[in-house]
Amino acid sequence: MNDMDILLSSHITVSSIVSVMSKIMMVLLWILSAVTVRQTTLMDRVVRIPVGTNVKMFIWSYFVLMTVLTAIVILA
Amino acid sequence: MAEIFNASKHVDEIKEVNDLKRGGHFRSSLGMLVVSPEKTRFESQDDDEEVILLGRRHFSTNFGWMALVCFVFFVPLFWSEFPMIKVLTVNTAFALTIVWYSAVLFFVIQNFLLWFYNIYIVTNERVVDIDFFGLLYKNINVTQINRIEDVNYSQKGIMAGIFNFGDVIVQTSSEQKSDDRSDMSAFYFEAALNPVLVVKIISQLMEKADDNTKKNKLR
Repeated sequence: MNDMDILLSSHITVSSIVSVMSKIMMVLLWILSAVTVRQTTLMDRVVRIPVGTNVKMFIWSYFVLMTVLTAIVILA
Repeated sequence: MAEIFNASKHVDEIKEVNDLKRGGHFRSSLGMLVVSPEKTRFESQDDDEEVILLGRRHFSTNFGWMALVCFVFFVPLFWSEFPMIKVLTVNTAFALTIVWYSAVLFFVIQNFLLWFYNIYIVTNERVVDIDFFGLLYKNINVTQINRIEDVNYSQKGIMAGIFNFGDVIVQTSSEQKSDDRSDMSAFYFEAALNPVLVVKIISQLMEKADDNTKKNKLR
């Protein structure tokens, strides 16, 4: 219990602070991944390239992966 | 109103384009210089407008961020050496690792997308420069071929010499300026592969446009 501080009669550990910050960071990254999906769609609208469809699918996969990872981190 | 130059019937006369088409080089959609790309369209393209060149920054310009990613990828392997991380519980350390790699992945995807979609297009009528800055800002510059005043290029650095890329600058009569570089032309093709070829093709299109204008005046 060396790393434990007592504040307002509750135990706040370094681990709990990092845990909360990780969850906030993960939610922010998930929002950014959603913005990336939208941005890729707009970029693809500006210039249509044959592999653009594959890039969009890749970005959607990234968004799904981020959703799963965000759920894991929040539940961890 | 200035007459719009249409070089569709002249495109086949451009030797460089024909040579590259016949050689089969520069045809990949992921390429840094694509000659007569198939199934490629841009937002404001006219029905009879033909894309002659599509280019993006040379791939070697990505080496900087790639090296950084290679470095940060291995950082979590040495987390046990950091005293602050040693005190974390297993769950928190695991969550932190996921956050770290997610951030790295986001960084990679952002840089890839910016490289992939920051392109320039030369058509038989116009030159189009599409620039995306970050996630939420785009800048698209379009000019007619017959409004181009000068086209030149510069090669700077060892990498540019080794990989044969350089910055192509297209000056127009309207003197449009770039959003990010206040003193530069809006048509600034950064790290374009084979800049000599790009300049040559644009110059030939300009010559054809001039000839066309002269012919129209004589009529």
